[in-house]
Amino acid sequence: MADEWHSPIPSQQNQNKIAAENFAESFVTDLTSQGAFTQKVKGKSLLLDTLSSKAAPKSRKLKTLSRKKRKELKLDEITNTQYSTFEPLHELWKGYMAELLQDNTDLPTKLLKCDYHGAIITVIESKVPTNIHTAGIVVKDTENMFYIVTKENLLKSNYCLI
Amino acid sequence: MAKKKPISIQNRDIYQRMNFLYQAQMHYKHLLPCYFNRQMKQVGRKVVLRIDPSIKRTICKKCNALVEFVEYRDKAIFECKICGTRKSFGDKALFNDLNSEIKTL
Repeated sequence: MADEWHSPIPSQQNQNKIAAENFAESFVTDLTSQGAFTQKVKGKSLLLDTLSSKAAPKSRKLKTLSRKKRKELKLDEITNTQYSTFEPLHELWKGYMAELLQDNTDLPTKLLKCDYHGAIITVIESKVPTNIHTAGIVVKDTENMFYIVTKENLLKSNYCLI
Repeated sequence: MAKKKPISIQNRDIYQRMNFLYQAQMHYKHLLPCYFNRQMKQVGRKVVLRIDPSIKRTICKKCNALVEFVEYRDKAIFECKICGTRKSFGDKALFNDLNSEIKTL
């Protein structure tokens, strides 16, 4: 059945072509001048849509490092865990907190928003029992974790809930 | 800044925090300044705080390491030791007003 639809009878084909041409000519001459039709349309293949002018894909400029690169360069790791190197940071933190707490307005939100790098923190409760009563200077502070350097020059991390 | 109005309270907390972080990173070398500078930028980003360009110039845009400009021929150049990005300003006279940021080679 499909064949009958798609392939016209051979003798009909030529007739169809001639009929189409004649129709096109007569139709167009009704609307526009004959000259334009023969020059621009007749016998030519026309572009009905603009070609996409996209060149090669733009190379991403070096504004930020990818996560792979960050791991390579170890930018988020704490390598030096000497307690003595972080003591000046603690002093700086004390000065910062003193300035923050000068006016006593709205202490809870201040404590939430303040920076804890350089603070000395003691772990009171923890799922990991060995971590309890560990104290040290905060070196890294992420969404869920505090990273502490203890006096024994160890890096400890603990889950924090606020 | 020539303004005599006090800075609005909400931003003040964040300014203090950023100030603290920038001072903290001055004490250290190599990778820790990267971490602190990144924190500083992230903290300021939420409230869309502007950082003074003289401070921005000391921070590598790519890896946030502490960086120094060096005078080379007619330009001011730096090369970040950590990520290797280089930046050069064609006109070193840009720096002359600002507390001699450039060290001569």
